[in-house]
Amino acid sequence: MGAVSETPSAILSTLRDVSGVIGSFVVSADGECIARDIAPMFTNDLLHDVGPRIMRLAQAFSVERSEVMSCLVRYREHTLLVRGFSRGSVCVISEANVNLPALKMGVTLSVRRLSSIPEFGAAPPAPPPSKSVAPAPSAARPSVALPTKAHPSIPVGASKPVGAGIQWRGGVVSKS
Amino acid sequence: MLELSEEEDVTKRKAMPGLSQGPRITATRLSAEGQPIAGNASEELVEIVTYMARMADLVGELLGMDAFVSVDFSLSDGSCVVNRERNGDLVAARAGHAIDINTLRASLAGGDLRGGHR
Repeated sequence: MGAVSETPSAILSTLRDVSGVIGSFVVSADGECIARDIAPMFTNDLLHDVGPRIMRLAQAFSVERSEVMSCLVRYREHTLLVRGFSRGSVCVISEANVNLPALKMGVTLSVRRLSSIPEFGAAPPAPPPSKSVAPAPSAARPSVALPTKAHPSIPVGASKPVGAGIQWRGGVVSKS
Repeated sequence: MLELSEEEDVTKRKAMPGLSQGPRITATRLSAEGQPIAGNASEELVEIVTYMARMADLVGELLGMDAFVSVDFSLSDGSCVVNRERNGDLVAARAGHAIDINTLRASLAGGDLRGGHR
């Protein structure tokens, strides 16, 4: 019950129960926005530009071989909370005076529910190698067609395979 | 019992537990241009702080939120806190799991980096 029929945007919308939350979105490991629950003034093009920067922010400590599990950026009047999970990261924009413990708990629950959706959950295990044919290097990657548009609209629940990028703690990411 | 001479007694004395291997905070103060002013941080941490500051500003700019004031990182091996002060200086502290992120933040607020001991 529940998680099976839930859409990513419906899950993200629960974060608005925390007072001060303005909206949220999910960025894949390669910086693409793959789900959103935020006002239309934050256009898809805008999130398309923001996503890679957020992931680079999260990758900052990779030179120290350290993984960023979450980061909280405080601006003068707003706060951006970025929390990683297996398929990317959940980003929440809120007012500066948001109840942070409540927000962090809400994000933890949302991440858990997002992970239960097949497109957002942990990457499937690689298939066993074929006995007769040597597998190509790309054989382990999911055979999902990538969107062809440069700026695809962000359908709720859409996802694409994760090929490279940051490895969040607990995440499964193949480094290209 | 075996009695040690005064010299032996001193040389065989063990260091206070937790003093030399205890929790360690690495901290740095950087100018607005990214030049180290004070602290004991590695060159690597200095580069990380300047890079993440730029990314946080870019994200804020794109989302219409001005420049960042502070950033807290929860890391797999500890935490890192970065503050931007009014004059534009960046003050950062990094520590392992032994030190709570709130303690780390308090260490920055305590002004340990004001002396310029670099």
